[in-house]
Amino acid sequence: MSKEKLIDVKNLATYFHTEEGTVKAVDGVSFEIYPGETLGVVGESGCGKSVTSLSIMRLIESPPGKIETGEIIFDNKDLTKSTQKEMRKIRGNDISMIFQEPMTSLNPVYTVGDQIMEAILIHKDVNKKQARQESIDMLTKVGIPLPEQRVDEYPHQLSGGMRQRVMIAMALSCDPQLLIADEPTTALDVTIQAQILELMNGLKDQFGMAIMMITHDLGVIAEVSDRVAVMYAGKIVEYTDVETLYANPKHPYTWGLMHSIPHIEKDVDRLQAIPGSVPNPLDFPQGCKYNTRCPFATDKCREVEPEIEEIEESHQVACWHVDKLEEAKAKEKKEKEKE
Amino acid sequence: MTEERLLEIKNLKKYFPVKAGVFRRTVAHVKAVDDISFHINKGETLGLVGESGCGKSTAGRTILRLLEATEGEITFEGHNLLELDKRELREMRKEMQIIFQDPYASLNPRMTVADIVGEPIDIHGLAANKKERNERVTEILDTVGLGTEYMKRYPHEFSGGQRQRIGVARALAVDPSLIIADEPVSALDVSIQAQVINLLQDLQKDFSLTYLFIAHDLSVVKHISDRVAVMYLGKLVEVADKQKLFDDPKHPYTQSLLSAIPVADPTYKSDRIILEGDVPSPVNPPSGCRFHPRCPYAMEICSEVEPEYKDYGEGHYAACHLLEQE
Amino acid sequence: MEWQEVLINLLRNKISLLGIFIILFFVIIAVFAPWIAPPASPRDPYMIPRAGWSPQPKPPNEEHIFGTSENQYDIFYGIIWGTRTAFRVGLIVVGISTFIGITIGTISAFYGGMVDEVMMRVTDIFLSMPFLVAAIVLTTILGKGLDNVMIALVTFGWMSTARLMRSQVLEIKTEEFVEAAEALGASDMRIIMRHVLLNTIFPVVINASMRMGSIVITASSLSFLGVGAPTGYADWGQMISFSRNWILGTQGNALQFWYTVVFPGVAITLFCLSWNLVGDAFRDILDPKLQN
Repeated sequence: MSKEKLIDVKNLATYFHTEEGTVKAVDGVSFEIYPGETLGVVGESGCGKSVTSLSIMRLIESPPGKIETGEIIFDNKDLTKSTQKEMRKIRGNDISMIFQEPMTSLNPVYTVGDQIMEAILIHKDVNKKQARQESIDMLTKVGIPLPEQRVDEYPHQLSGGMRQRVMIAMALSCDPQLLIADEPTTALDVTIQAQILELMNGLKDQFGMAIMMITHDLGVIAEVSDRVAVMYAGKIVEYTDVETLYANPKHPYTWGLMHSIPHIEKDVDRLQAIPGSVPNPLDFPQGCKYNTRCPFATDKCREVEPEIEEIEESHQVACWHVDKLEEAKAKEKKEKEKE
Repeated sequence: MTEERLLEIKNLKKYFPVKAGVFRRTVAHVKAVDDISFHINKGETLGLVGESGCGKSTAGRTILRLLEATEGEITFEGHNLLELDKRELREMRKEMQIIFQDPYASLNPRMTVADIVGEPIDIHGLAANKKERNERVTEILDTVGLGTEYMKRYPHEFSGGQRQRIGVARALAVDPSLIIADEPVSALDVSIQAQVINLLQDLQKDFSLTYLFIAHDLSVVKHISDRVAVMYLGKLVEVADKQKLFDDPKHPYTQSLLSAIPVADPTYKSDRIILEGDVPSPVNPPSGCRFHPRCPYAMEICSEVEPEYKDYGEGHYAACHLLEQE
Repeated sequence: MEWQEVLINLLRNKISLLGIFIILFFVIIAVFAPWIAPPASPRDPYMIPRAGWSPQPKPPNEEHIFGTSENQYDIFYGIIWGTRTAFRVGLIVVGISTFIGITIGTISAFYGGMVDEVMMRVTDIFLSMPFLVAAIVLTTILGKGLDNVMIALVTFGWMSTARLMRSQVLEIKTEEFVEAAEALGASDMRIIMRHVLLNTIFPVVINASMRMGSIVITASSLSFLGVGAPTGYADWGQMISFSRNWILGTQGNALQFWYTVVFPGVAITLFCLSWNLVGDAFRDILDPKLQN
């Protein structure tokens, strides 16, 4: 992996100032994406994963949202300081995005071709005919059968999987360096999800772009990511490469999450559920935000919030009690051996 | 496990008319459920899986007669449900309950938790007076892990997981023997899903419940079910014991479905069968075997003759021409 | 949102508060009418006392503070006792027609199929008749009188509610909690009362509140056209119809008889406005899309 960072997010904080109070949707996250890699961002609803990506795109609705602090360095520029005009040049051209629900992100009154062409015409110096040809090429690349015909169809004439392919074609039409995919397969069936993930992996190599993959699905993350950031309540709690994360999770939340999902490849009698529920963003607990649900929480956790720090090489964790989790893991291992 | 059958479905069909034109004439049918047969034993969990639009939810609702079946037979504890009149059916509903997918839409926003959970008690006259009713509601809420301090609150004050517990409590209030759970965890956060799954498993033990567990998430179905049924485009393609189905899937659709699941382990490399194309429309399903346009092993016969759904030994049912030839 | 919350919001909203104040003001006038304008003959208080027989209106004076109208009917007395008439017509007509509309709309949507088809075609037939003309014809057939006006207004006034209710119920009917109630074995009646109506009634209430004002205007129009209340009955519409010949004054003094139009006009406008204000505020509070 090259050492040159494609995008460098430093201490990003995005708050929403609502009538009921301030929602600290993203509260000081730092990560980087290298060219050609896939960074997985995993977390539950309200953890701030989508807001993070919208902040990078500067698509936070303001008011009520506001990027409070931090830098997003892309191409030697700080995107948090860019004007909307500059951002328009970057969006869809250097960084593009695909969303969970392809139906709502496509305009129902324009044909598929019109919508792909629009992106091409904005960012590239081509005429209409060339743009149309490029659209057809893009549809071919994303595996849409009969592209010459499909290009003149409307979004509602396509199935969910096909729509997501169109979205990907649109996003890739200007050869971006970074593709942000926000739960791109959540609304799709498993067999279609498999198609789309395979397609994205193939296109990533073909286009040489980086992907920021946002999802709640630990399976999808394991499948596509090189490195993973686990988010909880507006913070990154664990950040490392994918093999390390799954083999050796160091944050109690990551560990709990992995134990709470049923695994297709191994059977357990009972899932180890994480107690309680995701805290209300208007009313986050003091100290470590996971302390209300963590089995290892101590008074320290309830008072002081741990900073994320590197505990092993390229393995960052935000937890006061990494040792306690290791003890629990050792105990679990012993019990398994006894059986 | 006793092999006593609680529910037996025979040749169940549910067609929805497609109307068009000025006179709203029926021009076609959506064959949402098209001739399926299976049974559920007392005390077991049958997982019903399939992709969206395969008819699994319709099947669940038709069994409960929330939708009227087009044809078929549903035998529940010796009664043919389709022959019951309205009053008998209402009485019978005490025995069969449903848990819904969407914990937001399935609770009346203008009723308190006490009234939501108390409603089945009122309907079936299960409490002699108000005091008894309240005691019963408290007891049920306690069973599903909700404190009594919540009784006077409205659904919007709860999180998704808590709402789903309220939905479970409501189903439990009539002390049913069968619960149809229609994607009960798929709308919930990952960390909450396990809570509800564990709750359902505990309740099954404590109240000797039988579940029909409808879901699209195969890992969840594998975890909770004893047997699993796979649906594709309104048809059952395979039914078997959980272990048999996951270790030795016979139908090519089941095989590709299983291989498509993303595994939460980066070192795991599966031989993925990527299916071509999309699920066809149930209005005009493919001839012969409905899976043949996407099937990697399709033969000539597959597009002509519908394969027979039959037992390939020890209750491993499947419908595929490949198996017949073996 | 719950009833109490809605009420609190209504009282917090400045516009609806203004509306509520005006309505309260009219209520007080209606209740205390016998003291504000003591009737000449207690047996028939709704008949406006006459101060003479001259056809020409007389301007406000000490005895008749709002003046007198054509044929010397006391305008002040007519306005005060007309308030009672307005409330009576409004509440009865809106109440009964809303009830009919809710019943028809709910049954139609809930049961669907042929029931729906028949009921909606009947509704269409009623809707196809021009409201005012139909009401005039029916009143003429039934004969002059306030009761007959109300019958006519109810007969041709329930359709919009039925339509509104039907679309509301169609939407709610497919909600999972309705299905859940059915799965619990709830009877149709119970499902309709506890699940469907409870979640559909608000827009109808808003609609009814708006119609309170418009019904009074319609009743007034009928009176103005001469098919309403009997001559001399305390009714705002009739008060305006008295001014029909006096809207323009004599040459060089166009506004000579302003009082014959202005007082009853202001009464009707304020009454109508207040209900609309409350209805509007109601809608703003209940429309979740406007809430954020």
